[in-house]
Amino acid sequence: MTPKQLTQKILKKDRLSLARFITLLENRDTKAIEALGDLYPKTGKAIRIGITGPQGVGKSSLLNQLIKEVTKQKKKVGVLAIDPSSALHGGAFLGDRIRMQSHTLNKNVFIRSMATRHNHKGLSSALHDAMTALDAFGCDVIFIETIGIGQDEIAISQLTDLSMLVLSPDFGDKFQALKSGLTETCDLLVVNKIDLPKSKQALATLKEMTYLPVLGVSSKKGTQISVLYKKIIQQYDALKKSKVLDFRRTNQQKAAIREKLEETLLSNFNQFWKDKKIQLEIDRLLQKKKNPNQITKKLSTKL
Amino acid sequence: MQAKKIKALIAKPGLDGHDRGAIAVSQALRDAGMEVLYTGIRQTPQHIVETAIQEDVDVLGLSCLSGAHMSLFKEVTSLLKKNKVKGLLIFAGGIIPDDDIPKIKKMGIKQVFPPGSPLSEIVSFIQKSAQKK
Amino acid sequence: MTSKPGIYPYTRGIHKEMYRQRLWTMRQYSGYGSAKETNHRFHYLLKQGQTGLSTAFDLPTQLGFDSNQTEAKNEVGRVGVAISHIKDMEALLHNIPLDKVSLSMTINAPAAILFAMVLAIAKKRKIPWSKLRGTVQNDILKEYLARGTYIFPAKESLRLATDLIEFSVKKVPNWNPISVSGYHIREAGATAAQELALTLAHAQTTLDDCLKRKLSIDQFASKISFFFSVDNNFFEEISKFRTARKLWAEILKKKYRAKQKKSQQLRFHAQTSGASLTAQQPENNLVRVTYQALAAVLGGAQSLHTNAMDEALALPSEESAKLALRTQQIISSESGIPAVADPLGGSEFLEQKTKQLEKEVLQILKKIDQAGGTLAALESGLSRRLIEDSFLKTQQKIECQEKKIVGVNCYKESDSKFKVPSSTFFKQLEREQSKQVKQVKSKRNHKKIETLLKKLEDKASQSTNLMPLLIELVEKGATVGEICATLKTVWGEYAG
Repeated sequence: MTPKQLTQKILKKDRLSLARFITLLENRDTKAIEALGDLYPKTGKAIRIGITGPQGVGKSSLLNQLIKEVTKQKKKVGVLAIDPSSALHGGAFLGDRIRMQSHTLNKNVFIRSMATRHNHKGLSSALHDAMTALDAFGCDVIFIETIGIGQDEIAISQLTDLSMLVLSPDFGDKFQALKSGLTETCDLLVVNKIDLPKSKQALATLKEMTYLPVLGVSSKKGTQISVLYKKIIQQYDALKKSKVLDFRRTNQQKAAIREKLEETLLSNFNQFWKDKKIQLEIDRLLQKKKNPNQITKKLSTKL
Repeated sequence: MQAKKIKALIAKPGLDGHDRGAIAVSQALRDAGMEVLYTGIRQTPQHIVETAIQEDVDVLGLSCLSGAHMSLFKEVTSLLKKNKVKGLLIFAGGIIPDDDIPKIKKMGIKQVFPPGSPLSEIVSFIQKSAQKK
Repeated sequence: MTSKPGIYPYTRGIHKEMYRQRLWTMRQYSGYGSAKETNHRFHYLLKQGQTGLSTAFDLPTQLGFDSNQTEAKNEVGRVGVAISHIKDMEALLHNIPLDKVSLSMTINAPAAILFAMVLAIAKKRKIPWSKLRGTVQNDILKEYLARGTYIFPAKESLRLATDLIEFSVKKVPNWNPISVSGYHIREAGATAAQELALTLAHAQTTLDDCLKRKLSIDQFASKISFFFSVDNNFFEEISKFRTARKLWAEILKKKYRAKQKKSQQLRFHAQTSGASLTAQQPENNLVRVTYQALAAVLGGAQSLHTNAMDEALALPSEESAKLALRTQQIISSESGIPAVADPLGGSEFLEQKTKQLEKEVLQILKKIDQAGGTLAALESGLSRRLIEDSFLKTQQKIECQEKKIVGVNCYKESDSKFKVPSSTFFKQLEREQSKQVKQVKSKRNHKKIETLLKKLEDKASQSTNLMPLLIELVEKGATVGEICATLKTVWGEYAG
């Protein structure tokens, strides 16, 4: 099936086509990217929510509970769960889904795992496009789960309507380290595992450290999950009312364009770098005929 | 265009809880550069097929040690057909009686790896036979 | 040299005379198909000179499903015997003198229900509970970690396990209400040190849970038994058993302040390693099993299961099961080893090895402690990662021939693979079992069952011991599936 045919079937709610199309997007298939044009006009309905946080805080389990909340209201949910590719061998273990698989047979839930494949921001290069596909497919809510390694927290907030950072009661130093960047970028702080001892204290400390709303939940026990979901929707409605949402969505597109341009540049640059003439120039280094600054200056004119 | 990757789903249908083999295969495939999902134990054929669909995997590995493989594998392959899933490379592992192997292959399962099969053998089989999408 | 056998910390054995006084129990694990068939196999094994019975249950039973439930489809009677209700259990124990033969049951998540059935049957046969001897595995922690037949969340499942232990300690004094198992952890890929460390960690969780029931340590510590694997590395395995005894004795004496000798003595059942058996040149397995069994005996095991050479690959045939038993009988009757208590005591190599292993075990225990204890290490996946990493490492060593396995990566023969026989009789069995479940259900007092199940639902959320109610339930004909389903509505299920 051609990408164009796939997009037509996606609009008819065909899961198989949606899944295949996302694969093509992950491969950055040029025809698939072109065919996105057919889906684009059908988007804008879905709420896009980013969930990020350090490893081990229970993002997937929390997401599992949130999916339950959303589907209770007969809404359609899409999930994109992102896991890192190994820099060493390029392989990836896509382990988030296992925590959410009680929803696999629910026809209102579509979960897709993606590897980062050396995306320079720790996200998948196909992320924005995959959201477009899920939106056009008819999802009311799209969750993006990413591993929190610092950099991608900022990136994810640029690609979503609102985002939350998930921490566990033992966050301590991790939070200090992350603090500078994230208070500006996320909308909500969630402390998971409040069934653990000492969590009250952790919540109180956190509340003192930030002006962001802080909410304690336990995805294991299911406590405060519906409150969390309500809070998300409230925030979303407020954003919508104040037109901040429009601003954010424009920014999302801008960020996506920028991201794609950067990738194009990077890919062009990689081509340029492989060029024999360039390499010849660089080889002169070895003969000590030129120093690195001279070579850089000369090459930059050819970029 | 980016380099294509082999994406694999390792699944455990049936009730047995022995997933040492399934996990080791998952790790070996990942270390060979593939993108790997593992379902965990006790998954129904419906679950496995739906996961294979949503994740659009190239490879499906089925592991069963309880002895119930014939009916379970049959259910998985029929469901795949019913859902029009094409181009999927399926292999199986576990304690499989020799007499069952031809029947399993007839279901569309390409290869059966008994316990103790070298991981490298499984990896190279997949690298040779999987069609990357 | 370490102190003598029978003297604290029991490194060299828990009895002064060891096998001179009493031989180990030869306990072959068996069970398949219907209760009736397994009962036949039991009688056959007893006739062959086996001294204790050991029951394998099928997966639906282990997971709390009746034979007629959809979840049980295709799995009834495959890896063990199917027991859905007390009639099944009665057939299984038909003509087995429960006051003379010790009965072991490999059952965990629903252990309390199966144990309740045994107690109900003893009551009916007018055998006092004090005369019952046997073991229920009842070790749920290793299920989450390695074996996979869990049902309920950890906290609730541990509560049920502790109910069983508490009840047994008070009312069935000669029964072992838990067999803390390293076997499956080892089979899943753990090293000897990891097997031991995780088992000791799990056992301490049990001690702590029992103490919370206001039992005194000397009241129950001696009822805890252990179950270890015996793998290929001969001296390492012997050291493992020595280390296990020493550490357990020290933990009980120093940390838990147990006063009685019996509380400090670690008793264990050993089974030869299934993972070490090969499909290639299957006859070689006989040799492996023989010297693994020897290691168990030299290590001071209280009871032993020797694997049949085809055990890892199929249900053992009657022939191969007999040969496995004969292996133990040859060691006990012909080798002369049982005539000496701990004949290896004093070997410098062994002493060194034991010390080294002890150090490793303590390191792992410390790691678990630092991670917040057994449950935290389980939840965070730390324990599981330890095992997985070891398995992968071993696998890689085998593939690059750093670890040699005859017939697999050296001394290979092209055409000597074990032919796994196919099994066809299960469909019929499933139908018959299902029919029986329906029959049993139709003949009982529905109102009574309903009331009792409702009562179970209430009590499950309180803290009273559930055993008396479970006994009443199974007596009245409630099934394993019904009881587990009721408990699930209150407790939920383990999420993996």
